Amino acid sequence: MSNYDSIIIGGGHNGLVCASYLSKNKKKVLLIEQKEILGGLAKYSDFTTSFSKKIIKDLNLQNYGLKIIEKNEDIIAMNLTGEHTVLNIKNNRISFQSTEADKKDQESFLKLLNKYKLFANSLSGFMYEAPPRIKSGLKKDLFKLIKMGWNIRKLGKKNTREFMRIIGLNIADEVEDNLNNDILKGLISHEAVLGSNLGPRSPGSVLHLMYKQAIQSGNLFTNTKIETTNLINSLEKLLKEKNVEILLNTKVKNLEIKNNKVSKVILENGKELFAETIISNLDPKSTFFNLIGAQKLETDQIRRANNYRQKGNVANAVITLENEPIIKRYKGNILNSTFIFSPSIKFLEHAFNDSKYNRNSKNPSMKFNIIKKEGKFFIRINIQYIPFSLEKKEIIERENIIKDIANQLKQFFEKLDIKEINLNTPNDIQEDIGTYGGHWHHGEFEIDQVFFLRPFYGFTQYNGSIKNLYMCGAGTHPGGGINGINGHNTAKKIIEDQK
Amino acid sequence: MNKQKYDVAIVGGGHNGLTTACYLAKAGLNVVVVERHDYVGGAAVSREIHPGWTYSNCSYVCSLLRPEIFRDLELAKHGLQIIPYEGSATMLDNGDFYGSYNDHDLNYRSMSKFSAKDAEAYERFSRDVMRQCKIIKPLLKMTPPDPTSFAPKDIMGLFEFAKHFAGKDELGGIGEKEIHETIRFWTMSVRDYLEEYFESEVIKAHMAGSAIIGTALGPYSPGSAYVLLHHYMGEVDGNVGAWGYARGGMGSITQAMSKSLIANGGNIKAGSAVKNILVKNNRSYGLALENGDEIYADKIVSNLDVKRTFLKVVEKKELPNEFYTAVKNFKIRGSSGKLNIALDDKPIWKSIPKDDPASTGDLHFTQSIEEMEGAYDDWKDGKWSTLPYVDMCIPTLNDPTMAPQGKHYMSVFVQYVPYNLADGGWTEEKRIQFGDHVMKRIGNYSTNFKDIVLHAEVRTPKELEAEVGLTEGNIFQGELTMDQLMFNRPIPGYAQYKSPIKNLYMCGSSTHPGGGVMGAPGANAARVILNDLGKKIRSHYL
Amino acid sequence: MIDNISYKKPLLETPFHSKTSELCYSNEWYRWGGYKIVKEYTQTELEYTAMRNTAGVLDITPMYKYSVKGKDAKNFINKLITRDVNNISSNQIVYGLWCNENGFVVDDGTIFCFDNENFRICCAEKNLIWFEDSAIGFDVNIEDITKSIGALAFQGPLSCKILKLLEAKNIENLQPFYFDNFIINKQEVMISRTGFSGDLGYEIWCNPSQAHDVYDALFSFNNDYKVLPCGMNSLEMVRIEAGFIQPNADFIPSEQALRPNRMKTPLELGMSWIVNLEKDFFTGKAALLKQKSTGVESKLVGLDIEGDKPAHGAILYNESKKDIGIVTGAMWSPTLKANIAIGYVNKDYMKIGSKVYAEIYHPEELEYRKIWAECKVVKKQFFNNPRKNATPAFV
Repeated sequence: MSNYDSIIIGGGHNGLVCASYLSKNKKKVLLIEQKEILGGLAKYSDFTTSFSKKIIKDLNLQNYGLKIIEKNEDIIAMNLTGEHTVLNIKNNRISFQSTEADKKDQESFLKLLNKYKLFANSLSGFMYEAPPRIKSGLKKDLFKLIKMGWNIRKLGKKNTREFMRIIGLNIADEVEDNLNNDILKGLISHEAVLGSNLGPRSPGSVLHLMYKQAIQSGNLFTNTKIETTNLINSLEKLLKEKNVEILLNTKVKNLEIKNNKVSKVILENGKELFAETIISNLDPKSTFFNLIGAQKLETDQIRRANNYRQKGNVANAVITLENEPIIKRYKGNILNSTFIFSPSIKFLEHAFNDSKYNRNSKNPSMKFNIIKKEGKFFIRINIQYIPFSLEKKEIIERENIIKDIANQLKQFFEKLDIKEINLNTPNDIQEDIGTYGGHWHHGEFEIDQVFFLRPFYGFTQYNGSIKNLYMCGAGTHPGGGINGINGHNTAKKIIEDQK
Repeated sequence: MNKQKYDVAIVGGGHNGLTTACYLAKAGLNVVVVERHDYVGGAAVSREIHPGWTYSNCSYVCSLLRPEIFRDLELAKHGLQIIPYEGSATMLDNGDFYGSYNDHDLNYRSMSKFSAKDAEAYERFSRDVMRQCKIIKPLLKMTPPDPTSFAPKDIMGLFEFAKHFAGKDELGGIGEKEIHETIRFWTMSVRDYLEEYFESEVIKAHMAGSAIIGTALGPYSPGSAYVLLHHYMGEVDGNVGAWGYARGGMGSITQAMSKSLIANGGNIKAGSAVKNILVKNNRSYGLALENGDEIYADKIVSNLDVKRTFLKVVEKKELPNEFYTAVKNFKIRGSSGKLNIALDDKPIWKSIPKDDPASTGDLHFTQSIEEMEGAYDDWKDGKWSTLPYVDMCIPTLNDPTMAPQGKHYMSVFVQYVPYNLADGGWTEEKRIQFGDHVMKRIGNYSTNFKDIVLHAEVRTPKELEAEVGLTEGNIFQGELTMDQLMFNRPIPGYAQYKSPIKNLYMCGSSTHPGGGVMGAPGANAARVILNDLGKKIRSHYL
Repeated sequence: MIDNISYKKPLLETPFHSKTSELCYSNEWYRWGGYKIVKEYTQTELEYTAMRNTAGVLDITPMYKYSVKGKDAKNFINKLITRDVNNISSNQIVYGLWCNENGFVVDDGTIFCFDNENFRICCAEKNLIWFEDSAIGFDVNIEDITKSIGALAFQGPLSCKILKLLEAKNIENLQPFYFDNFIINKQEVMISRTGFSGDLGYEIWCNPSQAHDVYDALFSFNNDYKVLPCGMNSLEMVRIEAGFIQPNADFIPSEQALRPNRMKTPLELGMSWIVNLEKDFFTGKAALLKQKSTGVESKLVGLDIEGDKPAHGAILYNESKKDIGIVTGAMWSPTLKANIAIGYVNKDYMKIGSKVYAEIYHPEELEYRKIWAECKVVKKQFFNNPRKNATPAFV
């Protein structure tokens, strides 16, 4: 006796996308969100540059108020001792506006990014469907694997060899082989490790960078962006039009599992709900340990969910300013720019060293934007590495981080009058949203936790041993980022399974 | 000028070069091994640096030497004997020690001292690693297939490779779950891998050591668990994962190989440094020696690492640009140092009881993985580790031939030591400082060590490079990371022991399956050469 | 308990060691669970006969014992094992086995219920980590209490009689698979009516400090009824007759198996009776449900073999001499006067009464004689005397 075809737990963007596709397929959907607004972890970003164009088209999101902002963007790789490197992004093409790097380095830089773009594009075809399983015994999986291999091989012998060489490589070696300028090396390394538990010398960092390009049509930097609140709002509008029921301020307590199927969704307020298909937009650990509960997990599954690495490393802060800031040595439009401070591989490596020992980086890397909203100025900044910590950190740690950020930022500004710093560490994020480890991507993007291994054996195609329970969040293929592909793929799988 | 023409000339008398030479000689070919020093062996040598003592002054323990090669080359007949050792230990600052033993029950009790759960977890851990060893073993002796090629032999090779995972083998077949485990194991960091089993810091540190020996990776680096496998997959007498001492030092291995080579009609030309590999019309045809002589051969095989081969002894103009750049970018970073110490007496360790079998094997004092990672951090900054990881052993406790009665030889392998020191580079003074630093640390754990040191040979990556010829002193002739393994080793597209130059082959550890005293690269190269010549011999390995 | 580890003494001694070592005239010992345990005291045949004629005493202290305590103890056990223990009562014991997610047996053992929040699991292999991982999410505490309990098996037709003579109150009314506290030789001990011999028998659990008194007590009436200490060789004989499975003999526990196809499910072990597929959830249920519908590829069965040469390690064939199975345990049974074995046969030969052939290599004075023996597939439980379960037990 189901009231709904599908219940989606968690109103983050993947849940909204999944609900959109299901409702488009004439399913009766209920979406449950614990907060008073939708969006989940997306609130920690102002913009997304990677939201899937395919999904925008499929769902006709522009009809629901979605605005794609196309403005020339600047990326400023900041330099304390000399000239900043300023990249102009126009029509998704990168050109050097100013830099200390010589012409040869600039060419190598673009060449390197194009190489990754080539590989990213040939992989992007595998983004939009469930990954194959190895040795499942099923012909369709074998076929998919062969097709994957062929897609790479199509690029030619030389490119195939290069691909196989760099897939396990670390970004530091790659940039050291190809570039001279420290700022450029630091910039690419930073992008490769942002949001991960990797350092520039960690194998797998190149793969991480290629993934980021893959979800952005092959581009590391783009100048098309969508405001996250606009995105969430337009998705919400679509859902309302499709009669998707949305329950806000409602937390799910757990699921009742009977005979290996989800029989009930039990809310914290005691109410019980029924649906044929239950979809969790929560991270894998929350899904397994909170929703299903360890009591209903097989011992091997408990081990795998425990071993799944989900340790957040990025802290996010919103800095309210008293007045308009003035940045040193940059004359462009500060509102259309992204500032990155990661001046060399060594700098980044040292920041990473601290996080390995569960310490906050003394000199963290920073990526920030300056925003103007209703006449007021804000800085939204991502700081890496501020690792998630199992031990309770004292308030004083937090104060230290805030003080450090303020001091470090001041180095770059002529005028910076800080009113307030609202800091969210991975611990805060876990406290707030519930995501284990405060990890935005719902788990590390490392070779053993990606593609047909994500999140772990038995659950790599959006569902597992409990047949009517699916996961659609970033803890599934293809991974994290505000792109919505996970939600799309899950909906696709559900519809396929029901045939 | 020597105008004699050989069938094959091998540049470098390291163990792989000797292995290749032996197999080719057995096939009836006229081979010569051309070696720079007066003695052969490369990094598997026994040297009398201090009168009366024999040092295994580079490599020091044997496990990876393929048993089939041992038999094919009749090494036992030519004097090689491997003595297994019974245990290993990590000495702790608090006066205690963690002992690891071959005796299963004793080992369990020893681990229980630190954590009862870990002692139990160790059984599953060893089973899992053993399974990985069995999965990878057949891959060691394969010539890596070229996955980009459509040539029939490569398609067949890929098929064999896939079949290995698909079909029934020594393990009776592996399924999806085991493949997941294997991929995870090959790509994880050893720390993450160990955390899934163990809770005690000491036990984890003891296990993780094998993952960092000789590498430019730390225990937190993804891919370090694979190096652990690399060190576990050897065997002594069918005991997978066991290590032993070559009686008489590691030189016994290469001495036995040279005797076997001579017995099969091969030749060794020692004291003959090669200046150039002679190439004409993209074909190699001989060697030009430093002393002006030339040696001619139909085929040339280089036992040198890939950088030394193609950046030093082959002229740049003979090589395609891309290949040359790829070789330049090949990762071969030195991270290890070695001390060889002559002792006047048996060292007494503060924390290990006298005669405890754990003291006869490898000894360490790194007490946590964090400490080990800190040692790696120092190396990244161009310094030798303040708290280095050491792999010490005293072969003379089991081997009566390497020192006078009552005296001992101690081998100390140190991780991490950079090839390029940050402030100004290596000088004689710094080398001595480094040696003193390590010896002081060893002295902290012993009541008599500092009083019984008669002589110490201190080797940094610079010395290893200068004497042994390993570029930057990297003991594996190249990093063992995914980008340089299997069909990527040493260069993608050139992973089948051949170079862009016709008749020029590679047989050193820069090729698959990589470093350590294995002999597999040498034997695999021999197989490829014999195939090219249409020759076949009966052997256990090929 | 302080463990003074010395490389000179790698093995532990049970609390009964001084007694057993005195009685081990053959000096045949082996390692079990890190302890020194006797394989044969005098002669295996005599020891075996004692267990079928009078009574035998076996030191089974190395059995692993885990205490399971907490509010969720019963629920935890229900998730762990394949049987349903919802209705278990205090002092009752259940024989169970637990599987991994693929349905492969991790181990088997006896589960003692003290009360709903207090259980004890007794098993042959180490299971602390499996239990702790399985217990995540339950309000329960698992502890390894192996070293703190001395355990003896007291098996044979006169076992109850002798315990009664030792004034164990009302022992004859202790039902099979139940336990209680009794006083023998002034020592309070726990006695359970369980065992591995397939006959009337008990297991006695005591504090190590009581070990000597308890041990001696069992031999108190040897003038009239000769009780023998029995080694593990004789236990192997009686268990084969009883048709009981043994980890690392009939199957490799899934946490230990190097080769994936050496792991077995309960269905493959011929123990489908122990798998309760009606129960809501236990680890491995989904896999076992699937296997039940597809059927097993091979099964562990009993074999009644022609001739009298035991079929140790024999490969089993069909008429066309095709390889269809293997023997895991074999013996000539003096009690049944039959040549029996336990082994795996392919699904085509699983049915009782099927005919297969064993290739037996019989050692005869340094030469092996190859024997081609016909076998009939029978039930594993070869020895099943009513005195085993009779209550009141024979005194």
